[in-house]
Order: sequence, then structure tokens, then C-alpha cells
Amino acid sequence: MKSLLRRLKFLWNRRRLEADLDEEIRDHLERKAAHLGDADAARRQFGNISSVKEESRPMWTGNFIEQLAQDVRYALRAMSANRLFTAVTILSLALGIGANTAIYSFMDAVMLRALPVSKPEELVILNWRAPRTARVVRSQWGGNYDEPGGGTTSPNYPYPAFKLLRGQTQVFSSLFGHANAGRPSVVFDGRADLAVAQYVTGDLFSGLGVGAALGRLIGRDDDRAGAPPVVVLTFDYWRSRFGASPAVLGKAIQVNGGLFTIAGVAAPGFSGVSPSVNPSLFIPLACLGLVQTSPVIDLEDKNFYWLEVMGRLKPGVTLAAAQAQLAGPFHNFVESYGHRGERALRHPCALAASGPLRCRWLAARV
Amino acid sequence: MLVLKTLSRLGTMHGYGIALYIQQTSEDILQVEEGSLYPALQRMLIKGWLTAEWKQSENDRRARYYQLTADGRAQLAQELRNYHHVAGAIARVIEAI
Repeated sequence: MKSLLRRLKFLWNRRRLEADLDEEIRDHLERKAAHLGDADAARRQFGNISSVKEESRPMWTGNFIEQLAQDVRYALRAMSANRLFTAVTILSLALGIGANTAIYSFMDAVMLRALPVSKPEELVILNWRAPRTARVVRSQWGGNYDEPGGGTTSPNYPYPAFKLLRGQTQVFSSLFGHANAGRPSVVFDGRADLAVAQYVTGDLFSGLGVGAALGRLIGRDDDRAGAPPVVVLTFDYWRSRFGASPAVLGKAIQVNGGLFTIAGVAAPGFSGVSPSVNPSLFIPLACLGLVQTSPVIDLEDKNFYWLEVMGRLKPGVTLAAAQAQLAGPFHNFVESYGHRGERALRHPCALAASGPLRCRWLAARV
Repeated sequence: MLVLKTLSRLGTMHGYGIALYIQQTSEDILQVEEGSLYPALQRMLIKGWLTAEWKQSENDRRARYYQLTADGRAQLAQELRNYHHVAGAIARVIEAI
């Protein structure tokens, strides 16, 4: 490698090298002439000057390029002689590079990019924690994380528990929830496709501080039984599926057969709060019955843990203070409605600071 | 080998000086052919055995002075080893007669 660089340097400087050689030979001849006292004899003894130059020139240029080309040809020949080895080598290199790129883009999405929301440092994700054996959950839709020392942490809550926690207004300026709605079929203007959807409670957009690119977003009034059903599109979906047309506002759209109106488009860059889910549209939680066919969800079920809950802490409220405030009410909720009278949760309502809302998984283990 | 040896003895020297030194040290038995001296020097530059530098010489002339690099020193040692090896072998063959 060092010698390759040196050769490239010679190749680069060959004009100067030639001038150097010229001057050097002239100097040589003068010295020799002075020595012999006869310029002609000096020249005669030296021999053919241009042949000396001819001999030197290919050393700087021709040979090197020739040799490089030979090396490349040799490499290609060796590779074609052993095709299987070459294929495996290329494949493993490609996979290695690909995997690296994928991992880094994933880490970038999950850990490095904060959500495009206002004051993310005030936002928290609510988790509860229970000893390993506590079976307070009849059924769950979501996930738990087993802790190293035994016990379980989960971000899923029954809707009634969410309403109870939302009442803790001394802790939160806003509390909101979301849940995956799967990939319902979406029919617009006679054309159908599948789109990832997410249920959100009425305070999600205002609580996060996400703005609308067009129209309006889902508000508290949309998340009430009997409210006219509306959906909000993500900016990307609006561009790719609706050609970024402002005329879609107020138009009818069918989601899993349920009839909705397009109320607005979320600000560019906002695609939900889960790094692992990239929804195309948002549906008010109250409209769940219009979309959800299976499993049928009863919003008032106190033992069905499914809703993921986030909140914005009031200014000045610390994480520890919030935890202390919420533990009692949630503990009582589980005591009163716990499935088959199971033991209560050990730490009924743990709060995980989300910081700039980067990584749910890390946050869940805090 | 002779050029390398000369430079290791003299430190730095220009092409003419190298030729002259070899000629004089060998008591005029070895005549350095100038036509091959300069291509040889170029080759050694490219291989990295030497570095070259333009300097003012005695009587105010500009001359290109060559100097050994670490690689060049290693190469000289290698070539001397080979030479002694071969010379020794030849000597043994000749003495056997």
C-alpha cells in the first residue's frame, strides 16, 4: 500500500521528475567535462542521453499502470476461477454492509431522533410494574418486559384506569393514550388499499404539541361517543396516497367499512409516537367500534390491558413526585377490579421519564 | 549494491560523485556506465531505497543529492549477504581445483 502511494506520487509528479533528470544529466556532464577538461569526451563517454531518459520514463508511468492493470486482471481471473468462493465473499460483504446500514438507520430512528413535539423533556411514558406472580391482568394487548430480578413491566392500561389517571390534574397538564389499530382497509374515491392506523385519545395531538399541516387534528370533542367520525392523515400518507391535494379535506373515507371524514393532515415528520410503528392515519379512540372487528374491545373492560399512556408533567412536578401521586389511585384501582382477587401490583404505577422521547424500550426499564 | 554501498559510506552524494567514487575506490577497474547509472537511481527512488534533494554543491552549482532510506539500508544488507554467499561459493569451487 505504501509503495502504491509512492508510485502514485511519482506518477503525479512525472513532469517535474523529467525536468529533474534533465538537469541532473546536464550537471553530470559539466562536472565530467571539468574533470576531464574535454566536453566532447565527457559526452561521448556518457552515451546516448535520450536513451537514458527513455529508460527512466516507463518507470514512472507505463510500467506502473501496466502492472496495476495486470494485478486487476489477475484478481478478476482468480475470482472467476473460483466462482463459489467469490460469490460467498461478495454476498457476505454485501450482507455485512447492508446489516450495518440497517442497524444504524434503526438506531438513528429510535435513539437519536427526538419526536417533532414541543418540550419533549416534559413528556413521560407510564409503565406499571408487578412481581412475577401477580396475575392482575386478564388479558392484554401489547407487551411486557420481564425484569432481570423477576417481575414484569408493562406500558398497557385498561381504558378505565386511563380515565382515572387522567383525573390526576395536579400531576399532568395532559394525559393521553394510543393503541395500534392494525392495517385496516381504506377506501377513498372508489380505490381501496391497506394502511397502518393508530387509535388516539382526544388529547394526544394537543398534549404532544403537534400541529396540523392542513385542516385540524383530532381533539377532545372527536373522542366522544356519538361524535361525527373523523380521521387525521400523516403528512407522508397524504402525499403518497392523496397527491398532497388540499381537496381531500371534508371528503368521506371508509376504514374497515366504517364511514369517516378526513379532518386534517398532521405536521410533516410526525408519524405517531412509537418508533416501531409508522401509521398512515389516526382514528379517535371513541370510533374504535367502527373499525375494530376482531378482537372486539370493550372500552369499559377494567381487566383488559391495552392502551399505552403518555403524559405531559406539569411544570415543577418531578418524576418521583408524580410516581408517589399516582401510585395510590392506581393501586386502589387494581385492588378493586383485579382479576379474581389477585394480589396487587408491587409498584403499581411506575413512571418512566421519556427524556426527549427517544427509546421506549430503554424508558420502560428505567 | 555498489551504489547503495557508496551512499552508505558517503552519506549524501550526487550521481557524478557516486560514479567517480566507485571508479576511484576500485582503482579504475570498475567503470560505472553513466547510461545505466541514472535509470538505476530512478529505479531505486521509486522503490523507496533512496531520497533525492536538490542542494547547492561546492563551487555554487545546483546538484541532486541522493541519500539512503531505512529501506535502502535494509536492501544493502540483504544484497551484501547474497554477495558474500555467492562469492564464498565461487571461492570454494575455485579452490577445490
